[in-house]
Amino acid sequence: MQIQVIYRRYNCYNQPITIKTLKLMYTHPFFRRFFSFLLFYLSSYSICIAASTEAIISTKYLLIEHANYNIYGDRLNKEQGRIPGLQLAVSSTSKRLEGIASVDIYSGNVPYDGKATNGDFSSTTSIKLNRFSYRLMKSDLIVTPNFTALLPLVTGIEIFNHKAI
Amino acid sequence: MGLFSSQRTVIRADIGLTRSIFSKVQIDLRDHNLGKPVLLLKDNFGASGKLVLRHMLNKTHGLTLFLNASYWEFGKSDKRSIQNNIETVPVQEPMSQTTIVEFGATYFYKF
Repeated sequence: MQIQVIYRRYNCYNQPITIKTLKLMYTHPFFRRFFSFLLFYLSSYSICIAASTEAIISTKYLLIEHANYNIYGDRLNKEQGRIPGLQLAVSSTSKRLEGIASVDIYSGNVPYDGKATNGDFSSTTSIKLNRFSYRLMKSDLIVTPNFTALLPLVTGIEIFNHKAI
Repeated sequence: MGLFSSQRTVIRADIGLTRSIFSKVQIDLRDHNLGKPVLLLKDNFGASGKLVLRHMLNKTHGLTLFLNASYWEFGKSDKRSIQNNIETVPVQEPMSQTTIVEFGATYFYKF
């Protein structure tokens, strides 16, 4: 789960001139349950006052690079790969609130260069990531809370398979 | 941050700072009868950036091109000793660096 806090500053024409984002990621079960409840509550509020709705379809391409290092800074392994994905989303915008609910599906292979537990020095990892997320923004405040949440406890939709083949 | 704006086209850039908290990793060692221990990772900072071009084709249809980049680090985890019937094995996740670059195109329909 992630929390984003976005700070926006506006000029005299009401156009944003600076945006600073603080994104927090955590996995504690209490926070997941609390924010899942909060987001469901806020999403129903957002839909009630929505003025504009968009249906969105996106094709995506992820470039991932992940490496582990020992205490001396030497690289132990490296995973580098490209993963295509697809996103279906619905965006609902009012004068004050913007909510985006989306389903993301990614699938691909990532070569693993390093020592595996069975002694091999290279192998391939297949990654499948299916994600449901909801983001809500309040656009008329100077300090804007912006929640991005995965809801695996409530919906069970987040499935992450990271399996060596 | 709005870089460019016209009646039909908007270009926006965001820059973000990421801080991980309560980070954990679960390691699947069931093949060795050592279970699935959960290790606490040392939290660290990261950064993210986003560039978005949004263009309205007409009043109801539009296209978006986007480029997102994120980088974060985790410090090495705590060290745990896991025991099965035969042996006791120390388990520790080393420090890591991750970079994700995402780009794509979006079609949207405005109701």
